[in-house]
Amino acid sequence: MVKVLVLLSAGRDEFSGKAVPSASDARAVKMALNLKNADVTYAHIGSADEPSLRLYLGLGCPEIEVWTLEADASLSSTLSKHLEAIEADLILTGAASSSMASQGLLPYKLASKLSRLLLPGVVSVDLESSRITGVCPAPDRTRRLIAAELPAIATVSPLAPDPGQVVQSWQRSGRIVRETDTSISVSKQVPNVARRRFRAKPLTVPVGNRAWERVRSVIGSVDVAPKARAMSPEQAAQAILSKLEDLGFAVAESSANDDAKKTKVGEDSND
Amino acid sequence: MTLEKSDNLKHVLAVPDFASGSIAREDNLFINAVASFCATVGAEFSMLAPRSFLEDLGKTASLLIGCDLPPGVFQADALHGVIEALVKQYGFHTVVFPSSEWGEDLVRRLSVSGNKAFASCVGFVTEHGFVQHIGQDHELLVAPCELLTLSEQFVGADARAAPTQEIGFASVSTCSVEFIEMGCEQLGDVTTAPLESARFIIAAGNGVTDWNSFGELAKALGATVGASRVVCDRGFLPRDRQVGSSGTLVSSRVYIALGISGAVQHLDGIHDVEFVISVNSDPGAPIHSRAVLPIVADANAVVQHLLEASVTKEHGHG
Repeated sequence: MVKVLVLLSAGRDEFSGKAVPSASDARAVKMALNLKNADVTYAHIGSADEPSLRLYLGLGCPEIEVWTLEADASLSSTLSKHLEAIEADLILTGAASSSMASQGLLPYKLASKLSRLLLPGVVSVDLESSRITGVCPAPDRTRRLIAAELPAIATVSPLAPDPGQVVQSWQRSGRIVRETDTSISVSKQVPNVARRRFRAKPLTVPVGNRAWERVRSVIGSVDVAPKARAMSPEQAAQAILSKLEDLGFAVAESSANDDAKKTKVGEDSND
Repeated sequence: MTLEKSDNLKHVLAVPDFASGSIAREDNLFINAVASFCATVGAEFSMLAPRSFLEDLGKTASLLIGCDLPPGVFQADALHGVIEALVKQYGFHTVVFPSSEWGEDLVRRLSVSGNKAFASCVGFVTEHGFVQHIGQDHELLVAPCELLTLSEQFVGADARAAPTQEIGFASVSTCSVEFIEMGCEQLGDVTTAPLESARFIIAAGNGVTDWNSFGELAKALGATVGASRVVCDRGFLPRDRQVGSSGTLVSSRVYIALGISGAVQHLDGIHDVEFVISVNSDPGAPIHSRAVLPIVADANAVVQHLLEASVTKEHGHG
């Protein structure tokens, strides 16, 4: 059994301040529920009356522990105190509870405090006895495998599978366990977000005779579209395949080989 | 390599992802955004890139720093160490990342280790601070800080060409990552993956009638399936496959349009695609003018031949 701790933040809508489950935290709940061989604890630091906790219960977590934040203690020190007691092998958190300034730092602070490895933005995880493998979306739109020895911390990407709807009966049957009665409350102040204004982009002079040429000259890729040519299906198929190869998209079998090579490069450099 | 330390000029270090292992469209967009950012704040533009890219990046930055980490592989801890060392050595005032998965991760690592604030997805700079983009159409003003990620839609002053250019090397072949391995495997069923995050899409329009072959072809090529509105309306493919302004706006690297004429709404949907390959029997179809490889032929016949060719190729490799 791998011990997993899911940290839930108070979810707030960025514009109205209304309680909503934070998108990536909700996905972390769903991910933890689907884990096999795992003993999962869900925890929140702050007030037990926090309205978004009921919403996390409605997503399926059976019980949420609420830990108190002492007046003069910092979040990460309070957490590490509890973590010592729980000895979680894996800590799952959302990537960032909102897109406000300096959000999503807590997992990184924890990782540096506990000197654990951090898997950033996973969309799925698999647990073995002492190892975690996950899938992370990369900026080039591929999804990449990531692996680490436990104990580790993983943040859940907002691109992870949809957490589904809040179920009322689960909301009622789920329990919120308070540590003590004293608690802090999350500020109800709505952040100072404004509607994005129109800002004129600096003028880039487009070059070319046709619309798409001008567009392309601004975007940056310079190759000129050729005239459409009539060709036989055989020729067309060959032309398409060779073009795909040029662009780095060879047919499935050979592209799988490329991937294997790339993986190897990554592993070699790690050694 | 020396960096002139004139007091009135700030030095900005940009760290592009180069996630695909080459200089891709998103990297170009980011480099343009940083150039514009530097022009706006009056700073000198330096860039950290894999050693093998330095020649291609030529005149983009006034200082290029090569590093020995392999491109297309994310080694967060190693890169983190390199950037910290560079900042210490050359006194960079600001470090800028793209607002991508990797950039957002690195900025947080640096923020925690240096105990500095950061701004993410900055889209504009005012005299009061940085303006962060939030969601689709909102923004938030934050105090200026030394770490930030730049939005792709950054709006700033017109960037001038870099006046001088110097190339240096940061030698960092040793890296501290011992446990994290990151491969490049494409996972799950690619053909039914979400269209908005697909790299390679094969789309069918009214000209395609042999749906079995089309499905097999998508599988053989390892491409995500897309469709025009007509095809989804007729129920040949589910609605979540629809590309266009009333479906999904895609931004893949390659888009093969089979039997699609290219209505305005469809062309709008593929606006951000890098390379379009079109097959249509009508030589005057608008999709041809958008394509890098426009082919006038019957889509069904081409699907058959593509399928045969790719299957034999697959076996030939195996």
